[in-house]
Amino acid sequence: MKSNSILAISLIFCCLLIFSANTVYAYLDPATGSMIVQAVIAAVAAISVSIGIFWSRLRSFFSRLLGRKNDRKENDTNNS
Amino acid sequence: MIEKKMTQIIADSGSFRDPSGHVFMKDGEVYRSIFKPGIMDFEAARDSGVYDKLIGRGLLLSHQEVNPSNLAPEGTVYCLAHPRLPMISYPWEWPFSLLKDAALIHLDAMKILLPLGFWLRDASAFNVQYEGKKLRLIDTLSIGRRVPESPWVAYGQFCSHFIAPLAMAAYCDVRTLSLWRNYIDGYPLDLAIKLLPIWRFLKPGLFMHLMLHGRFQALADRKEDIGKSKLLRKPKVSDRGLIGLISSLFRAVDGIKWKHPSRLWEEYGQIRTYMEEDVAGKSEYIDKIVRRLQPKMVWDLGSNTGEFSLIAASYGAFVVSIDGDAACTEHLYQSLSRENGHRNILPLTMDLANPSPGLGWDNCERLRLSDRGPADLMLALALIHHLVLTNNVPISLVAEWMASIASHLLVEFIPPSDPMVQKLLRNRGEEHLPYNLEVFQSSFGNFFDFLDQDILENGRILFLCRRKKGG
Repeated sequence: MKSNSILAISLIFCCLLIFSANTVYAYLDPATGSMIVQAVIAAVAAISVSIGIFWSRLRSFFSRLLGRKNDRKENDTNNS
Repeated sequence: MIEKKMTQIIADSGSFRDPSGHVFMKDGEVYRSIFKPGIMDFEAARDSGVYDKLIGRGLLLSHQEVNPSNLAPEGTVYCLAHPRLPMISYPWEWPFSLLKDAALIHLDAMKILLPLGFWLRDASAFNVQYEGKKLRLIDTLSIGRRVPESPWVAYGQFCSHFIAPLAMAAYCDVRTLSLWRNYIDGYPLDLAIKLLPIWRFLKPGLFMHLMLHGRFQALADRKEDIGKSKLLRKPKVSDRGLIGLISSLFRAVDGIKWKHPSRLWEEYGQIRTYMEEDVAGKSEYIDKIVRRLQPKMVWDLGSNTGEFSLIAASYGAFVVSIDGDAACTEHLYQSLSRENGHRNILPLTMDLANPSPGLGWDNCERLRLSDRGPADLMLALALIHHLVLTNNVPISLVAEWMASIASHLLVEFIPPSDPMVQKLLRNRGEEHLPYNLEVFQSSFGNFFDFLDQDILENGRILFLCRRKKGG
């Protein structure tokens, strides 16, 4: 329980460093705590999505590169 | 119905919270007024085809724009006509998987809305209802333009309306779903944190959306209380982050699974084998009656796993199947879900000796069960002896209550000599309410005319009754 509190407090400080002010108006009270926690979760999710996209691009780049090399090899063997 | 009359317009007693618009009824039709605060979002969603997209995907209740003049209340800018829902139901009555599907339908809608620059302005379990065979979001005005870079305003509501009750039902006890009756604005997250076993928070979804969320809420509340909230306000959320949040919520909801005890099904199997002939005789008679009456709305009380509800639904009736056992209604809901599309059956969990009361503002916001009738036919099979002998409700009160809802009643009388009745009486001696055929017939005879009867092989009797005129 104590470690969770430490984690929560450290995440709040992290998100204060990352996020700046923005106004939200709604008939439903979005609740300050709910907004902060989702901003933290969303930031982590956005980073993981970005890493995922970067990773898939990296993989497709290398697979294309290797594919070309393989194609060249196949073409060379076919020509010979 | 508990509604407030405004000349010919009847305002829906559960539609007043959102200043963007309200629901009302006129001449038996259902309409939605859109007031000034809601017109920008409505016009944007309408003109960009968002409504058509959601309706086309089967996520949103359909509507038709109609001329508000001479029809709608004062201040109405736009007016929508909606199809009438067969039965309004509430989360404290839903099977576990129905609540889970209600959560998923919100997230499905969000996945469609976000790339189009829209979102759901709220995420209330009450915004999901059965329209015949499918669950739909019913609040057209929930759809609004997304505020750029803003956190999802309904995130807190989503977690307390869905993640907390689902997790508590699955990992504490399914009966905690009845806590909804007390917490109609959603379960407090601190309660869920207290009641859930700590090791359940090893699941990342529950850790983030319940544990961390609850702690942040408490921390922010404390800061606000002592006036140091400025620093904690108004964070930003990117588009990609919001899509990630929705995916995370989807995984969290999808990962909450209630493994209901299989032992129960074995017991039901044994009872069924014991009463096979009785079930066959009953099914045949019910089939005959439903075919004859052609009811549009059937309430099957004490429906068990819905065997007789299925017969009624096969003739096109919309059937509300009510049983006190959450495992039974869950079993029925799941078996209906597995088929190609639901049948017209809505399984609800409820103790009939303590049916849903009127709740919310002025006890009128959410209707009590008997205000959600009428039923063309009520099935009360193997039920009366439970109400009289287990719950100590006099037969006359049972008959009066049934007559207040149903125009026709198919009721089973189980004689005192039956093993099932003997089982209930084994520790009671003579200390119980009068229960015999004479009392049964005189009590029901006060409110109903007996039209037909069928004596089953085991001595049980089925009576077809029609409510007395003027009753």
